[in-house]
Amino acid sequence: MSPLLISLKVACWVTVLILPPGVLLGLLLARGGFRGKSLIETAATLPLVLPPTAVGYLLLRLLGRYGPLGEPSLGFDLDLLFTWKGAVLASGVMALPLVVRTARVAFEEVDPRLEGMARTLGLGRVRTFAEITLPLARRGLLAAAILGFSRALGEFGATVIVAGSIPGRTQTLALAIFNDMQIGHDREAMTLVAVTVALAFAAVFTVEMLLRKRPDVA
Amino acid sequence: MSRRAAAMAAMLILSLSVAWAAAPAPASSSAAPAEIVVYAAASLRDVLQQLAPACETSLESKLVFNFGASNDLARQIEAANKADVFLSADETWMDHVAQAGLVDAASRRSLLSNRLVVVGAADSALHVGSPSDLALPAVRRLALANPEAVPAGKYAKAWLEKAGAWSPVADRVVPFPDVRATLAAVESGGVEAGIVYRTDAAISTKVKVLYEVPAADGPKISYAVAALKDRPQAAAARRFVSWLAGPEATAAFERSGFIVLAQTP
Repeated sequence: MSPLLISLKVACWVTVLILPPGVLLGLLLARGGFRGKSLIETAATLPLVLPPTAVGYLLLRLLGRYGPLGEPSLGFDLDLLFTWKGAVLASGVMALPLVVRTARVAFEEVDPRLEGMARTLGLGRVRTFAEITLPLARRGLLAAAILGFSRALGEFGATVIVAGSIPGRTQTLALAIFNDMQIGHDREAMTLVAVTVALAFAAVFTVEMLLRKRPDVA
Repeated sequence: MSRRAAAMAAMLILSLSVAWAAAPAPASSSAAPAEIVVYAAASLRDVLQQLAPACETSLESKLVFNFGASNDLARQIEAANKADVFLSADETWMDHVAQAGLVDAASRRSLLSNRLVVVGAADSALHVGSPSDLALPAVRRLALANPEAVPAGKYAKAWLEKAGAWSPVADRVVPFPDVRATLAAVESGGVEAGIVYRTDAAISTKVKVLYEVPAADGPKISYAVAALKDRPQAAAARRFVSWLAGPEATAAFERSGFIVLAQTP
């Protein structure tokens, strides 16, 4: 499989897997007033500010043979280390904060009075969320998904530690660029750089368009 | 208030930049010892660090090390001429730097050799009696320094190819950026086996040697060293290269398991 395809596969899985918990956490932080909120908020932001190598190393120790999630401790093999699933895990952890933060802002921009009105008109909590909050926040949530996707696409430090850089299996675009640079394949490296620039440009441009304030005529 | 804060910030930046500009000045005065920047193969890390104090005293110079895979170091030297001495784990990457016109050819020599070993985690139950045993199902992943570029990986691949065992193991190879990262992968238990130098295996208590590649079966392993051209410390760099071939360094290399090559340029 080519580095581009591996990257797309990993980033798609990351997006699908972290969107539900990310959106839920974003909603919790936007709406909930509860004890320990700032603690959760800080914890959910950590991967954004920690060096990716620190995250990768923690995951490696956790999943390694002598770690609490290693084969001897669990009795079975999760088979994540040095597989593409490991790349999904590593870049998923790195991408989660972006999804949570963007989703949080998206929910905060929904006027709570609209939700209140829906409730007084007899809509339940779940239906209010599904029919009022979610549609109003949809642009921000889509931006959250794209940002998570892009972060996963570019992740390097944690991925190389957890998934290695196996050509055709775990070698994503970011890893392939580094590999080509190391072995002196400058032309191939530059081609891959061009591909990533195009992908990143498209993603960020879409997010900009989505987040641009537009008077909401509902 | 905010204007005052801005003024304070400006003062801080100004004083820091003055300090930064002033700091290097004493170092460049004549009393300071020469600083020799040494780019050395990752497998030489421990032995060179161990030798450094004696060497610094003897040469009245300060050694600054940059350890890494020889391919990375060669590319770094070619990108920016910031090294005084290059110690490559193979001749090919030294040739690469020489072709770029950066090697002081008269100083170049083949300094050391080494042996390859197959290692597993300290509690590994794996039995490796021959290269073909690496194709057994128990070896799900084999850690190698990147066989496309890193000397340790290229040597390992050459050995397996010669033994006819490369194609059955090729798709279980997990490449690592240098030989010490390969060793660390075996230590962590993330892979069942790995191929490193015997000098790497010797510094780790968390791995055990499963198989030592006989010298006759493996490729010719040769570490090249040379001073680099167009550098301010050229004389000190050449003295360092000669010192590495001297009795004190030779004894340390041999204690660590390296084979010191006869001095024929």
